[in-house]
Amino acid sequence: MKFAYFSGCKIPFELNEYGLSFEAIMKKLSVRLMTLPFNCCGYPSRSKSLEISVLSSIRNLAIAEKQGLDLITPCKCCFGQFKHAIYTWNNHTRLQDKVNAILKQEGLCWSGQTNIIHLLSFLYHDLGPAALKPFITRPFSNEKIVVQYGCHALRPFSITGFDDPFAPKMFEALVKLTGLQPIEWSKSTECCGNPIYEANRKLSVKILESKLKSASDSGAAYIINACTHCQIQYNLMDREPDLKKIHIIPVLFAQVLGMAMGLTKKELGINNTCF
Amino acid sequence: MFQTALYIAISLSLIGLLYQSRFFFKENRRFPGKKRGHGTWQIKLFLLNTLFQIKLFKAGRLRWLIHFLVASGFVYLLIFHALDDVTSFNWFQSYQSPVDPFQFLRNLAGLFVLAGCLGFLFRRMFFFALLKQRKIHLKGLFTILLILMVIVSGFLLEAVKIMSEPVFLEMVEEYSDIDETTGLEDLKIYWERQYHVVFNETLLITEEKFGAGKQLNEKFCIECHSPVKSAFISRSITLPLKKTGIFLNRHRADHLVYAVHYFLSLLMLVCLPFSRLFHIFLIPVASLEKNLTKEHLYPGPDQDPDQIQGYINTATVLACTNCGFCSNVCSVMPNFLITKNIHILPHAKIAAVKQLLHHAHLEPETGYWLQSGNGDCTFCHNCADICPSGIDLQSLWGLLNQKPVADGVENNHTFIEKLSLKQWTDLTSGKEPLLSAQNTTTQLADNGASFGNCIQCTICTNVCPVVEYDIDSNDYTPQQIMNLLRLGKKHLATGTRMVWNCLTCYTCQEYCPQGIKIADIMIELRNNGHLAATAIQLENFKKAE
Amino acid sequence: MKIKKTADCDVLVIGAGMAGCIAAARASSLGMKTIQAGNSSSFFFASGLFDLLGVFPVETGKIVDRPCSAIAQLQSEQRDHPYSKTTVDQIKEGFEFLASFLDSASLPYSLPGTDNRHILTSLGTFKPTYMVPQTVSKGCNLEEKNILIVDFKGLRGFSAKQVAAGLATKNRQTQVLSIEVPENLGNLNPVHLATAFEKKEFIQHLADKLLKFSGKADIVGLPAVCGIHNSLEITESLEKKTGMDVFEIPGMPPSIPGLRLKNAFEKKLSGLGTLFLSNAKIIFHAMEKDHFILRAVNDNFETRIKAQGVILATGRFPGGGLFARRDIILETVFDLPVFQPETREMWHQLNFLDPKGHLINQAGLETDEMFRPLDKAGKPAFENLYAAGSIIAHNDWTRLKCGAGVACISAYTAVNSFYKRHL
Repeated sequence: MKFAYFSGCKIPFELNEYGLSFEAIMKKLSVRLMTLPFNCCGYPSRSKSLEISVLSSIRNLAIAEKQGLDLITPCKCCFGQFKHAIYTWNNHTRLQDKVNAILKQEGLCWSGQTNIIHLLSFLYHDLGPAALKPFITRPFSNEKIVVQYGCHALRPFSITGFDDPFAPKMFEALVKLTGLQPIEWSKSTECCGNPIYEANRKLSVKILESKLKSASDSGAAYIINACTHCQIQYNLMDREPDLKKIHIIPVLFAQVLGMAMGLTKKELGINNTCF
Repeated sequence: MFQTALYIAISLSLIGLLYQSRFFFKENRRFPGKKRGHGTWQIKLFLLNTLFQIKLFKAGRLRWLIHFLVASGFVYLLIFHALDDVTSFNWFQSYQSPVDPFQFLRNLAGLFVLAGCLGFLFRRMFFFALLKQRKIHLKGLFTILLILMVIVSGFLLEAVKIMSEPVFLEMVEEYSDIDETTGLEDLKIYWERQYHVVFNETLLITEEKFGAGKQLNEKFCIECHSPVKSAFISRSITLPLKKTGIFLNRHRADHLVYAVHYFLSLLMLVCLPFSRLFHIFLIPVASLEKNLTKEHLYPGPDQDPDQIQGYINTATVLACTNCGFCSNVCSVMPNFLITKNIHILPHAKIAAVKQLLHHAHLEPETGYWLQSGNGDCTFCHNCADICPSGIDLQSLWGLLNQKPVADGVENNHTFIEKLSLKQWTDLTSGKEPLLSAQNTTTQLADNGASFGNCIQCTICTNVCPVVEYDIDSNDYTPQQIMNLLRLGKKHLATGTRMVWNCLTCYTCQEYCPQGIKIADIMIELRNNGHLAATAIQLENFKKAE
Repeated sequence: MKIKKTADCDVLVIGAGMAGCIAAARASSLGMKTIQAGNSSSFFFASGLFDLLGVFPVETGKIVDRPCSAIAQLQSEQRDHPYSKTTVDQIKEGFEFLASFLDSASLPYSLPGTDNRHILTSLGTFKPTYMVPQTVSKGCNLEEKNILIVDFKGLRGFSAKQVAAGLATKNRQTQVLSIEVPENLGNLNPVHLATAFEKKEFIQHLADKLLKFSGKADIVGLPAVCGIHNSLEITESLEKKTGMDVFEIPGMPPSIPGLRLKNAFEKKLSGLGTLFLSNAKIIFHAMEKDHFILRAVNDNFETRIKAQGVILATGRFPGGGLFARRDIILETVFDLPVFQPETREMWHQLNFLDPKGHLINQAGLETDEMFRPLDKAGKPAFENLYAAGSIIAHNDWTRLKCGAGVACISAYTAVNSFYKRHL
């Protein structure tokens, strides 16, 4: 299995442990990842201009198509953005023409064949829990955790087709394989607050605070994330004084899965002692 | 005279260096939040980049090669040739400038520099590195031409000296006791043939005389004069020049060219702080300190969120050589391809920063596009990773975000937020043609069918986290925004807090029993808001002129 | 260029309202592979109470105390009514199934008996209904009790004074208390208020306010906003802290008990393996031999569904199951014949609250006793197509107060019929 690896802009500098752990688990699963000169997926520019966000995604798809590869990404915002862009490109003729013309100047073209998949979908649908299970050589003990589903993959269902938008189960099913015990959490599918961190920091942190408190109250020791932006938002715990005291630890699923697969902390970019 | 000139040149150069170094120490008021500390030293990178230009190597092999040819050749010539009085003569017992391996190496180094300079020029003329635009920076061109002239004059000097009869005679006088009676003619014959000296007389060449000359050469000359073949470049210049040799010799071309070569070198020294050559100092300085690490992206709990941490050594901005690699790898190139705002791209941003440093002033319109372009930056670190000068570019973009870069310039959201809804509606009314989205949006907010079905059930409002958590009391709720659209009040809607605080979590859209694309409409209203705010701000700048 | 997918199932349920979800619940519980397409936000308009039959005969406005005996009469007088296609025992079974399904989804309902309950509403009236959430049930018997009614400042549509006024004729002492929610100025949205109830600090704050009345009142009535996810725990916790009984009073939409139903169905159905295609439109493609080929279409995807049986629970006009042109009413998925008044003029009376009711409200699909919609010749239009819920004709549910009952029974019976015949 081979994919073009779409890391998104936030992994290389801000959250490179996610990149490390993602690549490590893909390697263990014998999935080959190809790095291509991608640009930003376009999600941050969606508020500014539809054209920019659509061109951004389609250009990446065209770059991958040149290699005959589908894209895989560990970031749910990127994933959702690509899906939105694909919808717009398909249904907005004038914009499609404009995008195609710009890409043609670089000798690029997207015919609509290449697709993008998120890490969780890959593990659940392409690989399957049954095929993943044998790789779990060092399962965790039955610790209680909750999952942060991440809005941009989950909704709108008609664009993303990711999982049941109201009662999703893919993430918990995968986490269960590692030995951890997912428990009920009323805010599992609620936004983490990251999208408005720059526009309205106070509100963004307030949303996060409420989520952290409720997750902690539910009895979970960890919140598991499978999105770059969610994890960046949760990492605010280290910086905001009100959040530091809350008893819960946000972790990346890629790191959790990697540890359960027997990979070392170094390979997974884990350098704190929370595990 | 030469000595005096040298001292003057050194003094001027030092003064120039000190003046240019003002940026190393000066705190520029244009850049906010400059507190020392929190940067980290990158010793390994500092060494590798200074000595081997490792970042350029990673960015582009061919350009590294061109650059390395010039750099290595130049450094060699500077140390072992220009400063040979203090270096080579002291370090190597057998050193004389016409002696091998030094003669050969000097020519080789010169060839490196020559080849590199030609490479520089050739690339600028024919290869468009960035955005298919040929842009020739005069400063860089000047430096290359200066170096080229120094090298060419050096080769020319050696070429002329090789065939110079007066020099030959001076040498004979100084280093031997040969005269007309003791074999001068023999030596001349030997040197005419072997060393290409041009004599102002026709010599009778016989094998016997040649042999005698050779012996004399071996006795007196060869210790300091390796076969001229090893001066392979200069020699190849000498050969065609021999035709005019007598003329050149008579007028002491060697003195003339020496003066040219010497003074050009001094000129280079004086210009060093003001030309591209200054980056010999700037690049190591830039490579040394990493100003912005991950931790600086968000201020700590006990720090003022409006002040970014991390010190900006503004000298690093000057290390930019306009190579354009940064923009080639910029993640938001598509933003530029659509908007044509050059200030999205790093190479243009840093040029604007340089302007800010020198003049502390940007035109409002330029400032607007700069802050808008910088607002597009996703902080992916591609530019900082590749920058061959080792500039921590990302730290610059972080600083640019902190305060307006020119008077009256604001990002669109802040601009709108500061106005009351009435002010905003007044500003945008009657501007429909100007603000028309021209088919570039999702086309929902202008289309009644998109929101006409809204039954005002308030489900969207009830499931919206922004409404739930907003402490500042939101102005309009999602279903009220839909109602504004039904009332034909799109522009008012674009100014509401709800639209700009929307998380785009799509909960409303998923729940809506009438299938209205509420979140998509929110985003489209932002698109419209951006268009309007841009147009209005630009209009304001024009009016202010 | 949508992404093409395929899916096979035993049952496709078109519609995710009350009838659709009950149909999917029954189908999944029987072990049938189920796909469901639609939007469940109609639950926000459901009070959370399940009516079986509330008023009969409608002309006299007689409130029904014993629905099962009233149904027997209904069956003889209105042979076309959905209830006439089934038996009282089956109706009881259907409700028992529903109650146990919701119980397994951690949303306990008070098991129905033979009598209707009379539930206090936010308007201060009493509404007859059959099956109620446990959190509402304590309010069924308010005789001889000292009552405290609580409202929340900013929560629209619920006034403690108005509710108390409705009680004044029946009870001696009704006290009122108006509570200010900390940190909230202006409008309170019910869902947000209900979420606040899930925080311990909020419950404590509320309990402290209520304690002041613990000597004077036996039972406290709150608007039905006591949490979204664990409402019974929350009311019980309040009871413990205050020493008084606590009951919920259903009110205006958005309805929290309705949202609880939505969540319960979604969660449980997902757990049972139902594939839910949120907001997908179903387009009927063709019959192939003995199964249906349909397409589920949304923005980016088109799913080709092969279904053995289909339950059409698409609702009426708001949900899009029926479409009204100027001259005719159409059924939107299979283009089935719709029973409707002969002319447009006959759709409505002039007076909105006319005792005769409006004929258009009885329009819909006519079915056989298995709830299979009929074609023009009066035969089942498709062998394995069933209808459930408000799309069915001869069902004036707003006036009979039988909406939830029809949804439940038709869905339950339809799925059972299909199951029996199919396997």
